[in-house]
Amino acid sequence: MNKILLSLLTLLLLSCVLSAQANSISTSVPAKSKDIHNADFYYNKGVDYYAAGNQGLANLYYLKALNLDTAHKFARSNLELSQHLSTDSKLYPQRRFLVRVLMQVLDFFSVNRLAIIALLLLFCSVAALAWLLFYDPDEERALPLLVFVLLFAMCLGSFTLLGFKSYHQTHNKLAVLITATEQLMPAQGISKKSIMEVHEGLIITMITSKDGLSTVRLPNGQLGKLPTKSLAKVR
Amino acid sequence: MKKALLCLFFFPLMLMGVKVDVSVNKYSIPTNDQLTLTLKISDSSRLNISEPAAPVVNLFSFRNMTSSSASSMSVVNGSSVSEFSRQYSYVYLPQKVGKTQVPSFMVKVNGKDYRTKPINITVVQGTASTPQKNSLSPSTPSFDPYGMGLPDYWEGGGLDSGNTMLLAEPETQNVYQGFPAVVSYYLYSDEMVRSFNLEEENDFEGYGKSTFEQPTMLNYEEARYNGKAYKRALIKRLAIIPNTTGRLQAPVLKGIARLYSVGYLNKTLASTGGQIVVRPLPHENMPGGYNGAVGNFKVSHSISKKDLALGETITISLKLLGRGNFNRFSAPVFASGSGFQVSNPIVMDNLKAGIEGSRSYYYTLIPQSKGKLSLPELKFVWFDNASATYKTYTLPQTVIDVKAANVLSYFNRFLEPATPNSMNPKLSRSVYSVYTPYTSQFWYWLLVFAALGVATYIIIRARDAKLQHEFPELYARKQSAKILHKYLRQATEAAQKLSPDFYPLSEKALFDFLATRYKLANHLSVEEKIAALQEQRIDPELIEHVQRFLQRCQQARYMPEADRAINLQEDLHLLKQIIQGFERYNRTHFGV
Repeated sequence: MNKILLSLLTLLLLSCVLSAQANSISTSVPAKSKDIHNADFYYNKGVDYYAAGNQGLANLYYLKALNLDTAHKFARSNLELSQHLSTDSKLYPQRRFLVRVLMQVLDFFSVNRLAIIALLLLFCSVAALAWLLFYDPDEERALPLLVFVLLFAMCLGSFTLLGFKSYHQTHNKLAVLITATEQLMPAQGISKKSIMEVHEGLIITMITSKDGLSTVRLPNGQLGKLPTKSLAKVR
Repeated sequence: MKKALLCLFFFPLMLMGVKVDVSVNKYSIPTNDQLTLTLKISDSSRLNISEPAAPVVNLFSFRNMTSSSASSMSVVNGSSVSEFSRQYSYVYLPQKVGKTQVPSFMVKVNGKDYRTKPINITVVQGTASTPQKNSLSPSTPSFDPYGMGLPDYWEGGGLDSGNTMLLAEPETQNVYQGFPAVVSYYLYSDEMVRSFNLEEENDFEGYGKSTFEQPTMLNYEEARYNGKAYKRALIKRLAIIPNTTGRLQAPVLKGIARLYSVGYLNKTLASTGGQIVVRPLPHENMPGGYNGAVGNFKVSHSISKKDLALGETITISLKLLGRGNFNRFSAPVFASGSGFQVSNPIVMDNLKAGIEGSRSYYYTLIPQSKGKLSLPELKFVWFDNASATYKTYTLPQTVIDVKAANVLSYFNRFLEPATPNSMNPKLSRSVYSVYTPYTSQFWYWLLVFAALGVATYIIIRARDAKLQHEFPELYARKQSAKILHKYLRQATEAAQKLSPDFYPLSEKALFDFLATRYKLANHLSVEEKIAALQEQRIDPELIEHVQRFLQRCQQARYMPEADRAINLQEDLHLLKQIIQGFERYNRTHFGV
């Protein structure tokens, strides 16, 4: 039985290494190619657009970079600065200290980082389970039980967060206003009086799209409608 | 197979090379319709084509010709593939009903001759329902590939009496050194100019330039030149930034105008005019801190806040609006030594051709002590071209109230080191790997399920261990049943194969079972084991079966191999009876 287990583990490790190697070979593309699904590539495009004075597309590409890698500190920093310097900077909420800390911690755990951490926690949980179950039955089990419960809770939490982040990554509803200015129309009713004027680079959440108009939520929570063609979706 | 793969790999590249295609819009054409003959030439490198003459097609009269070009680039198998193409469209009007042929004709591409294929055409009598696409007179062609849309009121004369010229018109004749002068190039004509191809732009010394405006179509307007009425269309508008003084000649543009009268005629034109007098900047009254800005600017500023805690930051923006030499001066700097740490400014431009629009400088200031602090001096000096004077914009005296730091303000700085200090530059990457989430990869889930499998195995083993520790009797019975089943399986297989191994395997299975379940050591004789079983008060019939089976095993041991197989099925049946008997006994007495 031990030999079978050992063989299985060796096979797993080998497949893991080969898979990772094959992945790195097959997915490397030269830096000049177009439309590369890579956070650094999107970030560099964002920097280019910002330098060219196109704040809308710059913000869009920073968001694309962050969608792939929430821990991309350069994209985060440039996006925050761009928001800070934008005409609509006052629409972005000022978060409280602890909320900001929490957001930064969550951002640190990008999908791939979280996947690896969750996997490691799973291995540790299995090890802790073995420790707990084969612990000397005549001795106090508090320590192995505590270790197992903690690791298992962290493992469950990691996989839950991983599921949430993966879903958010593939169903990202953020969009950026790419035209110079637009009038935000009321989300409800037939009134044609605009609520306010919004400017290029504003980051919004798209809720629905119909008849060339999108219902959007501004960073401050305000709901309204904007022309769909003036919005560029992150995904 | 390899060849096929190679062909597949190089297929996109094989497709490239000079391609000359000729096609028509219709093979059967009514007399009141028009025939469009399209010649498309494409290649992977830039095309050098001698414009092919329209082929003579019997039964048709040539109407007009248009051309267009395009280029594209795509990535195939990791390498970029370019395609350049040029398209010529010849429009013909049918004259008579009958059958004819578009003849094969020569096209010279990159110095080589290519011949097109002939195309057969039938001209049929037009009906009233056929769309009247060509209801146009020869003097007002409707098909316009440049989309220039000649005005209906065009009153230009014929080719013989016409006048077409390209004029460079500076917005102003006199500028100061450094101030951008905009020169507009207009095509003046009293003829029917269908298109204009810009071929060359000849530069002279003494200026820098950028394209201020370049329309994509000819938009005509009424104009007068030397007392004569013309139609004129803007060709290009250049921004010229003089860096010397004296008389300056703007770039000379050269191009070909395609005129239409009876047929087409190309006319080569070169721009005339475009002289600008550049005056030097005055040295008298030049303020200190002048750094070369020349322009007509409106300057404004804003301060993000005037009350803050030590550790927090202020953002000050300085905005320049107007026309000037934005690329020739640097950002104004704050005076030093005033109680604030000042960052390098972030520059945000919204400029047209680098000369007109707005520029904003964003400065971040961090107070270095608490109290009421005056903002350091910031001034922007420029030479105003309109008033011919130096002007200075100074940030007004502003007092900032800096309070003592608190814990939150300290953490604000800690958490927001990049707001709003500066933009991070581009990352240097030679290769970008395509992002794939680990969760969408096979190996990831293989590891997850392996871990879960190991966990399941651990739980099963732990349960057995617990059983062994807490209920050793029960565990022994379970184990013995397992052993019996294991050997019974082997013995059954041996019996089915009529193998002589049946008896040793069966005997071993039974002995191991008795050893595990009833603790009957293997060194005991058969009689001793039977006696021990009788002491355990096991069903006498079952004991009798065991005894009989063990005797059969002993007999078989000394039989010739061929005779052993005779009663094999019968003995297998007996063995099964014994096992079923023990299982029944276990269930009745121990519930296992």
